[in-house]
Amino acid sequence: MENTVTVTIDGITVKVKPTATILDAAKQAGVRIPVLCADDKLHPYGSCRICLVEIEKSPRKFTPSCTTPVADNMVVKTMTPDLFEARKRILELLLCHHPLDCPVCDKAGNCQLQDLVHEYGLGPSKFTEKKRVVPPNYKSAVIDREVARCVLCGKCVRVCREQNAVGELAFTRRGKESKVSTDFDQQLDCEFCGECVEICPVGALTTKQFKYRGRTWNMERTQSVCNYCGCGCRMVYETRQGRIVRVRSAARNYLCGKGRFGWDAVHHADRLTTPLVRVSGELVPATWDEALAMVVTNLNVIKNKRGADSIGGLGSVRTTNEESYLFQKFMRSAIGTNNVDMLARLKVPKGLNTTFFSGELSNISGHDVVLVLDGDVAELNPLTGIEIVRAVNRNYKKLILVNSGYNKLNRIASCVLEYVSPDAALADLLPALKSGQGTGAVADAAAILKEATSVAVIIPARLPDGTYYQVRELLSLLKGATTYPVVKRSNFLGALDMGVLPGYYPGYQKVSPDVVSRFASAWNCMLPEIPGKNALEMLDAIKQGSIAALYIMGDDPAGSDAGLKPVLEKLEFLVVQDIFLTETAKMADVVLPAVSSAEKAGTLTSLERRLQGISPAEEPLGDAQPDWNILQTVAKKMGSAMHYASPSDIMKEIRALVPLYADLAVGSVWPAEKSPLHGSETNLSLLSDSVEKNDVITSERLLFSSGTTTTRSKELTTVCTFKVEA
Amino acid sequence: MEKMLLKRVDIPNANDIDVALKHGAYGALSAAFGMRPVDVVNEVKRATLRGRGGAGFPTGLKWELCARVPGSLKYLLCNADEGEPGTIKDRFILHQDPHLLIEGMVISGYAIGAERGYIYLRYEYPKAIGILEKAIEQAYAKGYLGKNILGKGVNFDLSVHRGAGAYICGEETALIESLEGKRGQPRIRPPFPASQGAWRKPTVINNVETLSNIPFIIGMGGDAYAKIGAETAPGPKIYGVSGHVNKPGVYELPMGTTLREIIYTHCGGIKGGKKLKAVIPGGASTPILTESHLDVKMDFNSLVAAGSMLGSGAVMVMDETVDMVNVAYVLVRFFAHESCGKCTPCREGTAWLYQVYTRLMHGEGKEGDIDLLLYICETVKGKCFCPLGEGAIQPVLSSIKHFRADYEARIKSGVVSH
Ligand SMILES: Cc1cc2nc3c(=O)[nH]c(=O)nc-3n(C[C@H](O)[C@H](O)[C@H](O)COP(=O)(O)O)c2cc1C
Ligand code: SF4
Ligand code: SF4
Ligand code: SF4
Ligand code: FES
Repeated sequence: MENTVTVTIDGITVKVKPTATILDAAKQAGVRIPVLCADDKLHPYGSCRICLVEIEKSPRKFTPSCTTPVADNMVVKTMTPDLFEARKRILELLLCHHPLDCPVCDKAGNCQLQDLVHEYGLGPSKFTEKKRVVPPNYKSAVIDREVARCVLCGKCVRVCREQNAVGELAFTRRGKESKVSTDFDQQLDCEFCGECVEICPVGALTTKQFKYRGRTWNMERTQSVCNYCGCGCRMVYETRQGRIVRVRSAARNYLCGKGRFGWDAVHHADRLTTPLVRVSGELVPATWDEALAMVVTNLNVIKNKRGADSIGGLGSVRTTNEESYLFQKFMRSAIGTNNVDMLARLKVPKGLNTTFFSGELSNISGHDVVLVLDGDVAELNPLTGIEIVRAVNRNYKKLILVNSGYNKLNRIASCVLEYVSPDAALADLLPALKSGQGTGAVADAAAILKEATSVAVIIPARLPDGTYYQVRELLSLLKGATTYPVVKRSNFLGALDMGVLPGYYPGYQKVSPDVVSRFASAWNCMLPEIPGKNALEMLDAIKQGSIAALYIMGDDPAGSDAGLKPVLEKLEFLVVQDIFLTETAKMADVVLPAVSSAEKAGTLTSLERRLQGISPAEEPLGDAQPDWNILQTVAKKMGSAMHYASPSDIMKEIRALVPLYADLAVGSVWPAEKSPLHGSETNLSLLSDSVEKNDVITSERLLFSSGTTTTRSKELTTVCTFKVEA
Repeated sequence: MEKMLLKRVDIPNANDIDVALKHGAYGALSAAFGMRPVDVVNEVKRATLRGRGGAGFPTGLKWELCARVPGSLKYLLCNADEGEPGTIKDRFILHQDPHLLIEGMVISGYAIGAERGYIYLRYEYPKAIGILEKAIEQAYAKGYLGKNILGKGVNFDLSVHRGAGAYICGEETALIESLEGKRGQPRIRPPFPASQGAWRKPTVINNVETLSNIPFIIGMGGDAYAKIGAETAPGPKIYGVSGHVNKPGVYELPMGTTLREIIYTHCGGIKGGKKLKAVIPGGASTPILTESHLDVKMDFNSLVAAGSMLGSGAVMVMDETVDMVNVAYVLVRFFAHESCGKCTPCREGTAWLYQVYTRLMHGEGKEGDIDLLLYICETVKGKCFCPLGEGAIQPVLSSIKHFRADYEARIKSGVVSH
């Protein structure tokens, strides 16, 4: 290999990049060097001095391994009697003023300081002077600061600035008075992602949510995926006695505030625990048998009297692939209609999953330039925002930002185009790219883009059709452009993939005689041959009386647009499966209690088209059941043959019938070119002037909102109501 | 030796450009612009000038490293933070002869290819800021700063940035952080400032006195300059002498003048005819010397051989009445106060030392405290992020080494002092 240097660490010789640090080389050699202030997420900093090593023939006795680059033929020792003593001394210094309150520290058992002190076997300290007393700071929402436990490694400060571009935390004062603080020691007023808590090597930053909730060695861990936005962050549920007590990022990935703290919605008192049926105008608890009988009878009656197409189904962006698949299968086979769709398609960008396929988020920082057409991206898809910041702060790439407001991206942008909308910005930017017209920021942006050999283009969550053509032109003018569409809802793409679409069977297989007959034989039933009504058409049909019954799985149209209430009132029969009694559920004739993503297994498809698995951390609450099981029970009672023991049985069927998923391993991304819609002019977006698909908003900040579930998170609600005191 | 650096310092109003011009200011500019930048660098290398800020790094080499980095945006920073206790040399140039510094900076900028310069000025020099700003304004007006200087196509813009009162900001990378508006803490190296300094652009940082030598090197040629003073580090050197001498003050002498000559010939010996007890030769972080070291030559290498350092050339003289525990206490207090707090050994070690010294000063010394102090120094030694922490233990180690009796007496007597 060229461009490597040879380094010997404790007798093990490795070849590493010339830019590697000694610490990197040691990792490659499989040698562990203790660290406190170093972190793969951050630039080297070199403050704690625990990672000292000895380099042969160096004029210095000790060298910090985390900040020192390797040199060819360097010979490093990571453990000698002198190094052992040196590290012991550093630890002794760190403990001088440490409160040593491990018994009540939430970090105990998982604390790098505690572990190192144990490893190096510190005895009584020579420090016998007076200890500093530093009071804790509990003023903020969500996050507590146990200031006295801080070892001043600076990781929280750096992650907040370098990774998040928030900069809420900073050091104040100096020397022994140094401390991590906010502006004028006020309450935190930040993104509340908790990355600082996660990265703190000690118990100096803790969460209110987890305080005294468990010892780290008493907890069980379940790998899963966040279900709050399209990014699909990997996370770990930590449970104690079958109850979730904390969520952490998997393998030190990122989690935003919703992902890390918003899980408590699953414990909310409003959770539905039994089916409800409407009796003399009131919703009252019922058994599953009673409720399902009512569903089946009513659907059968309407179907027999008015035909299958008088029934419609609205699916969910939050249920698993298996459940979305089963939903459309249920509508098509058990009911016998193609009237199956999602209101979430309203106003998504034209071109999504036809022209605009997302690159992998971790590649954003590899481009020369990131062009953000939507200033809200970091609020809607926080991980995408983090990757954009990483491009700038870690890889020194350029950011061009279209934003009429002001947010954290403005602070790191090379160039800000202050336009109210992407189309207005593109109206000026395109001529500047084509013929060099334009002045000021537009000219700067054009110059930067012209020089770039690869550009990440962040496509807004909302994109008017006209803008779609502008963006296409833009892409044709750029070298090496990759799009990264913002996808707000967690499994929106999965639901599309699974055919919750009136005109397509799973895998974007168009409703056509061939496809229909293939599915009919696979499913062993008769299937409708004409495409169904889309969600808007269904709403119209309800108004006109041609749709009489609606089956909604995990959506709340009445909650997102109060104007839809009178429409839904026209229905003869409404079934809602949900975990909460939403505005829509309140109008239903039967409400079937579903479980949250913390209580079930299955897969989700992220905005990167990555298939990821979720696993249950808790038992279903009360009598609630996973959506897939509810669906198959109803289907069975309506005479359809569905016998799935678990979601993986459903996935087996999906793999057999959906080419895109045939060999798609969990953790992998399906290749865009394989989609039947790739490059086509198909529009998966719905347009309406009358129907809104407003978010059910928790706060004035989109960042903390993700529909109905987050409104039930106690932690996220405190963030929103916690206001900096006047 | 005829004065060079301090030549105009005694002339009234030499900080006014008209007066300065009458006495030769900006005389080296046209000679410098007649040379290629690389030749200016070579001239400075030939002069073997070493930095006067403390570390004694060869100036020509530093320039060459920066000049070689491609790219047009580079910075020249003048370190006028002068924070080392006892150091007062730069102030004389800043107050009385700012045009010497400006001239030096224009030439240096030309040599390394920097068109932008900043003077990072110690917060506690409030008078200097007005003087410098006026001098810069005058230099702009006369065309010695700005665009197309002397009509030779050379550009150089200069402004003053006032520090915020932290000693650590004299350390070059902390200075850069502070200049960028960040917390004053040293940065990791590499990248070195020569390749990625201020705003991640190639940057040279030089001390006031270092830059003030440049016009003379250009004027007389590197070879002639190299003949002045010490062989390994030639040139004139400004020594700032304070303490128990009859004539404290600032003295420009050839590099390598002996300590004895400085104290007894130039400063008129010890006040009141008392005996000399100790000398700090180069500012607070340089190890304390004793009478037995009086014949040491005051240059970089000779002082290292004698177990100390030239540092900033701030000589502090103490007579026989001085209690060295008190001296160490005062210096440790300074370092504990000025530790930036970034790295564990310096932050915690200086604080611990300060706690022990405070006890000693309160008459609460204990058997074993000397060993404890040595233990803390050993704990700090060789592990700090920057030289501040390493410097902080020098007064402790050297005072115990040479004046252990002072410690023993204090621990035994339990004398309280303030
Ligand atoms: C803690 C500390 C404080 C320093 N303070 C100063 C200072 O006040 N003035 C100065 O010129 N150099 C100071 N230095 C040295 C600078 O880091 C740097 O070496 C110098 O400015 C380089 O200029 P020179 O090569 O011209 O000496 C300090 C170094 C340290 C470690
Ligand atoms: S709070 Fe934690 S992460 Fe932040 S500086 Fe202190 S120890 Fe480090
Ligand atoms: S970025 Fe999205 S997927 Fe990741 S934790 Fe936040 S809401 Fe969940
Ligand atoms: S030695 Fe460490 S704490 Fe002290 S000034 Fe340098 S970086 Fe800051
Ligand atoms: S891990 Fe290297 S100094 Fe902290």
